[in-house]
Amino acid sequence: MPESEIKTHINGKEFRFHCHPLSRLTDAIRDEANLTGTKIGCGEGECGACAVIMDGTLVNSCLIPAREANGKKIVTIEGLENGLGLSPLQNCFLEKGGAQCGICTPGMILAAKTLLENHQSPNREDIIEGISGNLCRCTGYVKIIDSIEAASKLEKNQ
Amino acid sequence: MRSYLNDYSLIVANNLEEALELKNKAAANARFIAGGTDLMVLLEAGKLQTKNLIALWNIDELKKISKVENYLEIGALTTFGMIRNHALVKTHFPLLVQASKLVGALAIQNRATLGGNIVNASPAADSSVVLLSYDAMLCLKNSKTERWIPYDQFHRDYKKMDIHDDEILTKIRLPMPDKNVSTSTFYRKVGTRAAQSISKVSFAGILFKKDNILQKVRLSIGAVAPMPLRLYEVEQFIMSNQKSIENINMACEIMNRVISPIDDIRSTEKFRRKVSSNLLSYFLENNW
Repeated sequence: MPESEIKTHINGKEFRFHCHPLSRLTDAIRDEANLTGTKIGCGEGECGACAVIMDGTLVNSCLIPAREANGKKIVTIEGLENGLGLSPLQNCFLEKGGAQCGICTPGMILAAKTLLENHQSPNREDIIEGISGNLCRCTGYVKIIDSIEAASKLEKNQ
Repeated sequence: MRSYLNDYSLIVANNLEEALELKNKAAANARFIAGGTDLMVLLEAGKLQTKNLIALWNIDELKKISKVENYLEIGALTTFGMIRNHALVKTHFPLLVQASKLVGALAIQNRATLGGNIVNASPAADSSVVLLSYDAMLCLKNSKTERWIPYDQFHRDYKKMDIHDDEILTKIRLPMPDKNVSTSTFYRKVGTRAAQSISKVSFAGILFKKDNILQKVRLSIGAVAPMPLRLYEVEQFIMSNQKSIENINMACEIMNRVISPIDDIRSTEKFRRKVSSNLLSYFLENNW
């Protein structure tokens, strides 16, 4: 099977590469675009470590054939910081201690970003549902929820 | 162990006709890929038997929800994320919203399609018991013609369905509820976690009443047989008897004669029988 040429937008920049059409989008992001913030945890869509935002929706990139990403806009964790530094959501994770080893954190933050974009004032239950597809083996989730709660209150004041 | 990708091919169909043409040529040597949440997992595990895939992701005409005549029509490529947020589904088919919210997790719902869930035909599929209780109809199309079948006739045995090699599932229809009939609905997915779990038992029950008189009952159960089941015998029993503790127990007994749960990696026959009875009793106690 000849390789496909894939043309995609990652974090606002156009990106082209060649690969087998059924390669995982995660591998394209990590190996071709050198954006290693997106992690591989389980490789079967269960842990959320590979989560990215594709055309506005949260998806597990390990289950997406690279060919399908042709023409799509992708946001990875690296896309959250702007020229001025980390995003407010990322800063909340720092301030509230929402990360330990950090492996789940990129996916967790993108899930939180999606939640906050769709919910005006999420309560703790909403937050828990919003991150229910992201597994963390270190923190016990409490400080992750605290971080997201803090970020949701910040957004109200902006 | 991961698959050797060069053994696999992928063609992207630009529209429905092309998808059918490609499938016609390949017959059983190719299969369709929609959201990929089942097939990519198999590929990753080195277990995807069919080596030639036809991608459906460009077929926008199958990605929508609309009211057609007296039905809600859902395109087979509509995702669970779209279904759970749609106003008509939320208003008229609350069990489908509940089931959609329990498919995997949000990132899976944004990709997984209703058609894929049906055709993958896991006995534990989340949408199946809801579609059965809502009397869903399926549209199966090939290059020459299309046919509609009731969903409760679709699954014949474990992963054996009434769909031919040259056919594709295009649409799912749910009859709109009668405004003059009130319904009590109940859906429960029993699994290991709040999200990202596969059901050990799933149940969808609906009672239809007019002027407080029982008109119709629909009871469906999943993960306790080679395919999802409508509990016809139990429904008939409910329609012809009065509510009582004895009759609720009898309903459970009748159900236990028709289900055939097994011991597997997720659960045991004994647990599944007990939980099935608990779910049915709970539903009848509170709604009958």
